[in-house]
Amino acid sequence: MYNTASVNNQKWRDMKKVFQLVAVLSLFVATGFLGAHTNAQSTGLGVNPRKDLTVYPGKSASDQLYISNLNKSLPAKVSLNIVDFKSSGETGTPALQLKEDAPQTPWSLKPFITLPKTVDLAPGESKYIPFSVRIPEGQGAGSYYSAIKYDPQPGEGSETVVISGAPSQLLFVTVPGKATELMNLKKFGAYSIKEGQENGSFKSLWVSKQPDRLAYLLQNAGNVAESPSGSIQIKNILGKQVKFIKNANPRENLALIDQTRRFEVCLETQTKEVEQDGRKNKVETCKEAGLLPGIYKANMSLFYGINGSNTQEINATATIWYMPWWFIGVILLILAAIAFAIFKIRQKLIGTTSHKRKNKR
Amino acid sequence: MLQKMKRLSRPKIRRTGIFAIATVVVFGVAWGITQRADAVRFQNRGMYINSARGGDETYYIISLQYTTPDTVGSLRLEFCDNPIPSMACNVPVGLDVSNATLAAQSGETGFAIDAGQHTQNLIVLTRTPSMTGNALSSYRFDNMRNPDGTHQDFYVRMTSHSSTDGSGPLIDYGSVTATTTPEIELTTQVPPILIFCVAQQINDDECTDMQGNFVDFGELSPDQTYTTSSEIFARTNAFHGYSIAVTGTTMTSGWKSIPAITTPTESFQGVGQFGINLADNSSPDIGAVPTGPGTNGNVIAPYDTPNKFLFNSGDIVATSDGVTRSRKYTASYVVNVPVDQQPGVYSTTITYVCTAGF
Repeated sequence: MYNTASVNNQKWRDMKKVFQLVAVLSLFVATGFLGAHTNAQSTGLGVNPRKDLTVYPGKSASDQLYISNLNKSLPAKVSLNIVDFKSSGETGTPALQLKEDAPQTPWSLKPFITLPKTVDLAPGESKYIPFSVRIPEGQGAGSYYSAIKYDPQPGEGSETVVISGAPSQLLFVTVPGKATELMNLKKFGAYSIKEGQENGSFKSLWVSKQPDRLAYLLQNAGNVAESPSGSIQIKNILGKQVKFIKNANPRENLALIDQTRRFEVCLETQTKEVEQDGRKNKVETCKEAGLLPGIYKANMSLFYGINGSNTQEINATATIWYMPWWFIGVILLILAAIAFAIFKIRQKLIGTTSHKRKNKR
Repeated sequence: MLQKMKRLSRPKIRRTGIFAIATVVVFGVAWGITQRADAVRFQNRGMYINSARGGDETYYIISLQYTTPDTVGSLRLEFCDNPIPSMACNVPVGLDVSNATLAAQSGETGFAIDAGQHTQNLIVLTRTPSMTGNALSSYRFDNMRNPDGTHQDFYVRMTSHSSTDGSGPLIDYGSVTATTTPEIELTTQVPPILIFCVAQQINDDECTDMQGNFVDFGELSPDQTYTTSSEIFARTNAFHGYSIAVTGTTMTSGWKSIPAITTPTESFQGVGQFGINLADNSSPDIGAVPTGPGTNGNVIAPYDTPNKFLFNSGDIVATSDGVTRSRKYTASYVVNVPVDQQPGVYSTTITYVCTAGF
């Protein structure tokens, strides 16, 4: 009996242990979650950042895309996806339309481009991938653009959660002819922007420092991605030229269709050496142009228009007041001195007149 | 004053008024005449280059509309590196129009090239002076050599004159511009390149040595914040720099999900949160500031704010504004779950897309 009871007790203890284990596991499932295990194929790719082509209606152009698997130990299978893009703000940052249901843009290259869907690359291998762009007869002149996104596909056995890096390449195609080209000048003037900031402000009056750059805002209301060119002349109050900027768009920036783009140009450039992580790096920045205090007029002549279309011209003038604090102080001192002198002369004159009157009496 | 006015007789006032009006009219007419005498810009001016490749020998068609009805004997076309008439005209490098021939003309016709003034960057079209109409005129020139290089801007300064040699007062003026562009760009040499990689740890500046192709949050519970990080590396010799966007979804398990933080928010235990940033955080202690000599590569707000996290698919997280040397960014991930979070295997796909600027 005792033995049986003892065995039963032992069984009960074993069952209790099992129940306890199940309870613990249940609790674990109820309160905990299986970890989000993030796994990805380590991808390192090198691609061309941008390509510009000119294709006439009814013709096609064949070219090559460059892609390199930088990983020396793992192969890469890369899928090539065409993604439309728009502008993102006033700068040259593209806003890729990555949502699967994103509507096709009017300037999309998707209907015209032929390229392979995937590319296999051995470790460290580089390849030139042929592709072609065919513009149908009768297609309107203008700009067509999209991006080619290189998506590394996850390797076998990878988890469902992936962190990956996909470089993409911008592809611009110009179809020559009579296109609708219209750029509206929104603003032009001296521009102030802090390092690392996306946007700054236009200023006419400069007191704490002199301007180091000019900027202009152009709204593109046509169907061509425009890169205007032209020059800027800066004259002082006497009409004498103090500065000539030969290239008003030195970085060859583009205003995309529907974009209001900011173009900046330095009055003077300088190359700075910046040390970071023990390495020296040369950085080109704007610097002050050595203007004397005064009022300046900046006259800008801009031109744009694709090959075969009319050349459009934009002319604008901006006034820049460079009045540093010390200069305002000097002016105020001079004005005070003149006022004081007038006051003294007046006092003297009044004194003399009243003296004469007294003498007459 | 009133007394003075009263002293003036009415006829005197009338005479003074008539004289004043006559003076204004005379000066107005004179001003109008002088204004009309000023030159105005050609209308609808443009240029077509049959092959815009740098250095190509090709034909140009220059079209314009004479704005001022006047007797025109010459049209001066000067090819320069800038469009402003008051500035010196420098010959665009490689351009040569000295062998140009006038192959066709329409609209205002009867022109021939003035051989005596034909140079590397100047063509003067001459004819017996005659009145211009308002039809669109175009002139085709063969044997024109483009400037060298790609994306080389150049300008044609155009003026019309009564004289037959392009001298004297100008009637209309204006510039047209063109750019050399490769028609088909065959990749025969290493062009600008964009290097980009993402991994848990990146050990070099070439994306060849990367370690740990996964990051792990471990088991999640409501009384703890779970963090992990990965590294993003980019560099480019492209003129317009790059931007890096983050795409993907929040962590999901079937129909269940952990809410993404959509505005910059601190990490709170026990609250459903999934977010990232690219900053050096202290609470929780994770992340790092970007490293590497490509100092013009920067994290974009709000992903640069320490201890604040968010996740919106498609957001730009970092940009650079020009040629950018090596730059490594550390992306930090934060997950919190509430007590009533449904159990399951939560997962997500995060893709960083690096694109050149324009």
